[in-house]
Amino acid sequence: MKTDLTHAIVELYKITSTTLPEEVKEKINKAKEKADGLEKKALDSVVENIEIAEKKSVPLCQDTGLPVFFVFYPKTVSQKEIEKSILQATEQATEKNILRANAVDSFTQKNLGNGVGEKIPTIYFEEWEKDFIKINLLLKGGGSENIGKTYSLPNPELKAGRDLNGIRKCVLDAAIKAQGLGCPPNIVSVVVGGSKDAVAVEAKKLFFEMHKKNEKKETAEFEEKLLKEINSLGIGAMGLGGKTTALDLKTKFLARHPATFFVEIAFCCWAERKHSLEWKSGEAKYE
Amino acid sequence: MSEVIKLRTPLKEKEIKELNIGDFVELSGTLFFARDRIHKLLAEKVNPKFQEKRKCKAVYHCGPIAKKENKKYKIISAGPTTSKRMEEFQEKILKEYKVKAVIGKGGMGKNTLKALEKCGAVYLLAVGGTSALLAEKVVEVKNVFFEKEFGLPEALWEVEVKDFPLIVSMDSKGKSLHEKVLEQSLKKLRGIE
Repeated sequence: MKTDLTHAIVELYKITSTTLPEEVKEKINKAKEKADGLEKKALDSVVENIEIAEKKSVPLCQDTGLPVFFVFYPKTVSQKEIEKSILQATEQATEKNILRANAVDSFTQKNLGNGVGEKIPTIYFEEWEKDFIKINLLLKGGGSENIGKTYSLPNPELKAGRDLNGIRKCVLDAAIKAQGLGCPPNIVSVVVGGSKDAVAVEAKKLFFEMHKKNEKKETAEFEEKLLKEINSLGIGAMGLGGKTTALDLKTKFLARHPATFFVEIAFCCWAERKHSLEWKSGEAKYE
Repeated sequence: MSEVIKLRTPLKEKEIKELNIGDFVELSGTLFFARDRIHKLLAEKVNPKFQEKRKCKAVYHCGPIAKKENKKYKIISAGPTTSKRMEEFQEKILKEYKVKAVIGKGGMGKNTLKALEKCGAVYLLAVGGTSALLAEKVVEVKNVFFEKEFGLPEALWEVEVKDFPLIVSMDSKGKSLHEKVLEQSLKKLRGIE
């Protein structure tokens, strides 16, 4: 398949807006098997919706989200050129109704119309040793973006100190406050330490690590405990009450300044729309 | 509970008052897709044209994706947006425009719950993110208003639907499934703290 990078990114947008990765579908199906009552009804609709969107190649959700790109590129390639392709592709994907026009001027409140604005899409670049470009795209829904929280520990209100139990209290507080607002069952990303901006970016990046088992046994156990406790709250799919409030949870621990201790919690709606593109000498490979 | 209740606009207060939280509903007739900016606009200045049009119909918190085919819009994707953002305006909309159903996701607050009771209306939950499925229930777009001012996702859409699948999550008797789930989850949290 020979095409230019802009076209390849439009295709990446299309795949990401209309289909979910297999690992996400598997998690949703598992939750559906466990469900009954209203939760079952909600998850039946979710599964049917995934099938329709895939078959008709239409967006899974009318909120096609905030596009977040993580681009890995070899030193021989220009970052500016890739950025140009991404912006062009965003305009084209909006024109083709693969994306809804989701960029609004926050001073005038005018919809910019073409899906492109200051920091939308959001793009992060990283040079790497490999000889090809890899582009990870996350389409992050606005509803689930709104329920994300940043805590600074200690937090007297939650009686949360600077330890694992303090982190745990933040996660449970965020889940309680989120209820059904961010289209649960959610995927939860928890990043600790760092500076305020570092934890926020890493939390987004962590959505691409959800399928990997944490290599550190203690961290993996902590993640399992958090996931189980969120689900024990009984909020359930769409907040209608049920067994599965979260489909998955991952943590990442960054270094921190002695005075700071941030806990960043990012939620993704069940439609965890993420796919990637590998671009090597004009050939596109999607995953 | 598992039986589906069929409703059609214009909605009658009597049938609305019979609905209970947890009921499944399929709604046919006219929906008005409206979100943040339309709610603010129509609540701050009551508009007689839409008082007439929206009476006994339903308001749907939705910013769709639509494409133009032969000068007519076709809805491609039409799932619910988070209703809480409309809380400030919903009471006024219910009272002034006499809509009988508010549709969205995530539920709404105490003020809306009271207004539903006072006006004999309900809040119906559409399953969030199921936009492709819900778009199939759209029969036609009758009108689009304020398109130029607010852009397509934030415009006011008058849309005909058939068998739109919904769950009653706030009824006209002061009961809210969202409040119930919140209370239960807080109780569970206290148990593991």
